Amino acid sequence: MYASTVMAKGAGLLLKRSIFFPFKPWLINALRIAFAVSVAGVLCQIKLHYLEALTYDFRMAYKPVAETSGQVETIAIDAKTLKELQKDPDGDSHQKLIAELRKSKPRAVVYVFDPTSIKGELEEVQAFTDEAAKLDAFYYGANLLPKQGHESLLKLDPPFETIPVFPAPKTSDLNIFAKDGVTRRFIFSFDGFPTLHPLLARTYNGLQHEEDYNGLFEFIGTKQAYIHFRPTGTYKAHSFVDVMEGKVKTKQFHDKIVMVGKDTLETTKDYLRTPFSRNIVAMTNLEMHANILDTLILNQSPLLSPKWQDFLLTALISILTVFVVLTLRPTKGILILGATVSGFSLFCYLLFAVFDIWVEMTHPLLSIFICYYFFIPYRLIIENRRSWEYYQKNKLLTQVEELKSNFLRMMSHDLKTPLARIQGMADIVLRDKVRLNQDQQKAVYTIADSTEELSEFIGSILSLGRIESKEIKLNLKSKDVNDLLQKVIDKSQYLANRKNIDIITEFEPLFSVKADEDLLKQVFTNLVENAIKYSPDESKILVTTEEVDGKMVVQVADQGRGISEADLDNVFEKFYRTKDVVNSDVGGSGLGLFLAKYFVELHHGDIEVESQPGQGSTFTVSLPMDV
Amino acid sequence: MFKVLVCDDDSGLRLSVKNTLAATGKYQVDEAFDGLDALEKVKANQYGMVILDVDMPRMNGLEALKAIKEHDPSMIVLILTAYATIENAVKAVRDGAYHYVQKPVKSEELIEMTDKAIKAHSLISDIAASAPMLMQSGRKIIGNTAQMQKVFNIINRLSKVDTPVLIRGASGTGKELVARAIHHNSSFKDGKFVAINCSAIPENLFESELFGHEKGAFTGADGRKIGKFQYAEGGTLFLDEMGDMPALMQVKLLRVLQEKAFTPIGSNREIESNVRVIAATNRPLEDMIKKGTFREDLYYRLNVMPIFLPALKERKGDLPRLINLFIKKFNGTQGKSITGIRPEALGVLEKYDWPGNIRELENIIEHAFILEESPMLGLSSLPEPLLMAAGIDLDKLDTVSSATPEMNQEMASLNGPIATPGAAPASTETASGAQEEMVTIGGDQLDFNKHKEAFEKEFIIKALTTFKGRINQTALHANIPKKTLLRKIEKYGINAKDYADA
Repeated sequence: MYASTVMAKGAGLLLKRSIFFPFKPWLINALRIAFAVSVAGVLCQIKLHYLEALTYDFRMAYKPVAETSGQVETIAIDAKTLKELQKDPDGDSHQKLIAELRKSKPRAVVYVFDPTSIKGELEEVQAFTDEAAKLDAFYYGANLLPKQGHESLLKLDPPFETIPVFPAPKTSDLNIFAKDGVTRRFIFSFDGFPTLHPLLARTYNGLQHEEDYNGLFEFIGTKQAYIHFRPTGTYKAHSFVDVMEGKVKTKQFHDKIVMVGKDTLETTKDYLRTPFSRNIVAMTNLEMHANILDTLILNQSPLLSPKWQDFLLTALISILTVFVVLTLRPTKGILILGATVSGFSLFCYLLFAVFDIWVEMTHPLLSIFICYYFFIPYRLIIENRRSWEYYQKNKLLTQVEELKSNFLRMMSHDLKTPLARIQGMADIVLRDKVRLNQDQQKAVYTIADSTEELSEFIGSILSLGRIESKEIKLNLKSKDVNDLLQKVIDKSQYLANRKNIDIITEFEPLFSVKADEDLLKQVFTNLVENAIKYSPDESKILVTTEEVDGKMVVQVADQGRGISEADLDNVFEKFYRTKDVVNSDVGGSGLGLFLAKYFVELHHGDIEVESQPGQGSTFTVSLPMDV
Repeated sequence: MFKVLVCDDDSGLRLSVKNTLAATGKYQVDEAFDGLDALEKVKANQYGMVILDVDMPRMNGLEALKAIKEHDPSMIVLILTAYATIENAVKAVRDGAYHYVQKPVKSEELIEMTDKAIKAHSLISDIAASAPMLMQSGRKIIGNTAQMQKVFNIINRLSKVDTPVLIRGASGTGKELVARAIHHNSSFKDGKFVAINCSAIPENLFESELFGHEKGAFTGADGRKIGKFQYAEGGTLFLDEMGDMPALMQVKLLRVLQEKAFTPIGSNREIESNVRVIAATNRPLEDMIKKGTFREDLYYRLNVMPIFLPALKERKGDLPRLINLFIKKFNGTQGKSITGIRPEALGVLEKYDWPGNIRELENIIEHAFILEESPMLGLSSLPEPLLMAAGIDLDKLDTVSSATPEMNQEMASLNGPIATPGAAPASTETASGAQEEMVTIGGDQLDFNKHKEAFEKEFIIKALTTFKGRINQTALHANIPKKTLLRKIEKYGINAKDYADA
């Protein structure tokens, strides 16, 4: 009853398990991949410019500073200028500056602030514009982007009408992309017309076509690219007043593009935020233009990796995360994911720093977090369920273990008690004063013998049980093997006498070895009793001991029926009985030799048999002297 | 009749145990059906032994064992169980069970065990006569009395430990008897009791005698020899006349006692030893230490629990009781019914000095028993030297005592002829066996040895051929000791393997 309930519980547990995991492994994997890919797909649809800009700025800020082209010089109307002139530079000052610049023959001079803001008498201003006109190239880079039909905006009012105006707009991510007001891009061309920067750059690098330039992308009718920023101060501006007064060597500006702008801190319009700094006056417009020019001259605009690459990376990382979360142990998983995050970041950084390739980082990194936090609760549920299952299984095993020991208890108590009773009663009958007739006496003897056989069998089964539950431990004590053997033989003498078998012993004196007395006794008992059992009446059994090559050798030889060659290999097998023995009337469990071998091997010894049918068998046990 | 109580909740088992013991005619057996019942019966009656089952209702066997031992520590308790575990066995023996046996037990085994237990117990009452005193750190804790209960306490105390015991006492005070009693009541009782008289072993053979030797360890060591320590493994080694042990051996003995291991002469292997050592001596060890003939360290190692056996002359007051004890004993063995000793005879005995102590007293009583024809031991049955020592005039007595030597001679002559008939048939049998095989004697030289060797060789080859070169089978079937066979094979240069396929 008890057993059957336990079994039923076990079956129920197995059933539940199969419901819980109805899928084949490949299907489960496919589902995981599908989930990861769809997470990646959805994620890539979401624009995360702000976050991406953070990683971009980081990469930009920490990449090694590249050499400049050296073709761009800047002149700033700075605090020093205002201090020395005691005013804003007027037409006269500008005229002097241009005159000074002309001496060095620059390739082009570009004003990046509105020249119409130059104050002064008309003549002075006129003198400035005249002076400017004498230059090979003098431009005003205007911060505007006139649509077609609005070209008139590019004409200045007199007396500045002689100054050619080119669009050189400043862009900031105010309402689009990252929306953080940082300047990252510049406009390369609009409606097919290039802005001032490509026109100037072209004179250096000779790249005529848009396709020749790196990193251009379309944006609402314009072609744009990202500025390869260098940290503020890379383009050291000359002070306006220094140049004007000829304090700067004119050679400095020879065949270069000279840009003139403001750095007076009067208005934030003259400044911008850069990837290096969100400070509202992080960099002057002047230096930004220098950066843009150098970006173009050196063709260094960062190249944004295409969308499909972004998706591919995101998908791969999602798959990895899903598998890590669902299959690995938590600590190992965290380690792997941590390594993935840092490895991927490093990879992106290196690509940017070395090759100016901009791989989007936000989507892949975010996908790790999403997949991780999506599956952690799921994993927790599974783990919880599994530990519950283990708990149940453990409970079941404990019950089985209990059942087993109860069974062994039953075997030994409930079987042995009636056996003892039968044996006792048989003894009483045999001892009785009323003599039995010969047949009755024989019957009672048979009862007594059978009970003994049965109790030995129970003993063997119990030993087997103990072997299988690995309960047997050697209890080693110094023992004289001859002494053990003699005790065994004395005990078996009764059996031998009944068959008139002569047990001859030839013991060589042996020093004690460490052995488990009970186990070795059982081994020798099995061998000697087997010899008696399978020997004909009036035969002899020879038991010898000797020391050979540091080993103790015990041999039991009989003149019995012997063992056929086919059976020789199997006699030590559990429950094995040879064919002719099974067909004979000699009883046995088929456990004796198995136990003997097991016990001998526990002592690191060997047991062997040598036999020929009809001529008897010799069993040899050899034990090492030091177990 | 020895009274035994059998306690088992299974009436069938109770009955079979009862029947087995009762059938011997030595025991009167009562039954109890559980632990409580057994305890009540033990308290109400005088039992010598209780056989207890373990699994019983109300009070199980182990609890009953404790309760019974509390009531009477000298009770012998046998535990008989169907479900034997090592833990229970250890617990039971610790709680004072004499044995712990697994059911079903064969009736012969049960009887043997019971006899052994009772014998061990009766040993204690025997040594009660020696009035042993147990000393601990110089203090007398038990003794100077023959009261059975106290002697039992001594033995009980010693049986629970395996420390060496030193028995001090003059010759004849019963030292070996005490040693035996300790052995048979200790946890070493299943091992052998091996007694050695140290004064009887030549000094140069001492080590070999105790520890054994390897073959060829010294000149004359032509085979391996097992020493007494190995022989007594798991049992008790009784070293009598300890004071006569040579100094070198004292060192080696000390080592065994401390390390519990020894090395046979000429062997590289150290053999672990689990032997209880009981030493006995009548020599003044303390004086010997001062003279340097006995090692002090060994003395302290042995002297953990010394037992003193007082000389008989120091306790002459015990004489009447001792004499009665021996009268009772010899009444049993000699089938007489002597009721006591006459006062004049007792007076003679009390005047005597008893140099041979209890052993001498026992001999004298036995002597008197043989001679005495009246129901009381009288002067006339006491030996002459004793009477002379007491100043009794021999002429006044009937000289019946002179019959003794004659009787002994008669006994000897009776024993003579009995010994011979046993040997005769054996010799005729071997003779007829030899006649069956006729050996042809060829050649002209009639050399016995040569022919014998030729025959032996031929015989061995024939036997080996028959049994396919298998030594064991050949030895067995051809009735040659294996050793002899191997020696002959070597002698005649026979290669057994040559006949494996023949």
